[in-house]
Amino acid sequence: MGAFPIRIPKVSLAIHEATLLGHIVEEGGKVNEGDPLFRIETEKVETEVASPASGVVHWTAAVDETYPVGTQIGVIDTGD
Amino acid sequence: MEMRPSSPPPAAVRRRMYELMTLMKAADDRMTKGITTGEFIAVYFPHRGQEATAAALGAALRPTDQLVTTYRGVHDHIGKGVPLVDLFAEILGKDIAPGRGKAGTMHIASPQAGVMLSTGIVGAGIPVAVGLALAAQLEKADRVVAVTFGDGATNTGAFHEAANMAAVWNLPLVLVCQNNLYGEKTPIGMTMKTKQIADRARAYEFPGVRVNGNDPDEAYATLSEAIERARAGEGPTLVECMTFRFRGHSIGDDMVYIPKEQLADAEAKDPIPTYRARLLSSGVCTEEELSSIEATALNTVEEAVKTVVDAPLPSPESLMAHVYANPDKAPV
Repeated sequence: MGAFPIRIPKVSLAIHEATLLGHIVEEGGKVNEGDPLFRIETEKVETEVASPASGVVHWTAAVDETYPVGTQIGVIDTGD
Repeated sequence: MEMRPSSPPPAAVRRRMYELMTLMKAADDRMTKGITTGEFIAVYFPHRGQEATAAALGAALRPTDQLVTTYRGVHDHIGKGVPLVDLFAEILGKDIAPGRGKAGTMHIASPQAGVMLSTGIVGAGIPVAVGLALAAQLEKADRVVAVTFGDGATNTGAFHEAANMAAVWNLPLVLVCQNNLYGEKTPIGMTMKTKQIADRARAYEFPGVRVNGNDPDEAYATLSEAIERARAGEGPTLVECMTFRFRGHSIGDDMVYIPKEQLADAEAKDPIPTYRARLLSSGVCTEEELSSIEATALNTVEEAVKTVVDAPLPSPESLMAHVYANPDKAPV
């Protein structure tokens, strides 16, 4: 089964880390590519992050923690 | 100087420009999606909306001609024929890139394709293009150098010094201003009194022409004429191509400084569907051909992304290689 990593995005030029505010799709839920997947905060700016792939979501990192850009916080089982 | 198209470019050129525009859009869409979703970690400056000028320039230049562009240059690179794998690999910092992933988005070069430099400093590429054009002249080569830059660059000293020297030496140079109405986040009305950037050429006694940079046919006709003037030894031309940027200055720019109506109006005149409709109504392409061009662009981009994603990052041991010509004298 294909596994697509979910990572903290570099949502603007100068950021190096972001706080994971919450999941929009819960553990075990299904998501379509491009639909909202999770929320992050960077420099007091809240951003809704779209899903990079379609499939079943599994979260591996705790909410309300701050992570460096690029940190894997979950995985999408793409089923292919 | 009046340089107005009397008839549209040949059908093969028009089809080629549409192919380039769809490829540029597909590349911009894919980079933007990959970065905003966390799939790629990269710095990127979107060009969406500005494709027509870059396609026209790419179609008008010969493979042996040279180009200098900027950090917002992926559309220009694609127009000039830089392979997508080279572009994406440089943006994502991969070892297979021409600059071994160390150039980044701001400094992509591909001498084989004639792209000699991209610069991160506004206006900085124009004097370098003057040097390349002087080299072509001294070598008695028949190549032309084009340099692209934004509206804000024409306020820099570098632009004016370069324009002056290009005029004095009668260099084979085409200065292509992609005027998207904003210097980063500042509307041009706050930074210049000049109504038409093309008029700035008058100060240096060479032609300056403003064109609709979202119309590939019009841009191609004028750019072709400027390129052939340069090739014939008649000196530089400034071509001001009016356009608009649909996405932020860089990824993460929320564009609050652009009035919603202005953006909506520009998007309603998106050069890609507009040109598609013209090619269809004028019988240059059939619906099937246009759909095939669009599908090919998406597949080409996806294949290049796959190759780049699977490619290795540079090894930590290689990080200081290719940085200094003489590493022994590098500052530590």
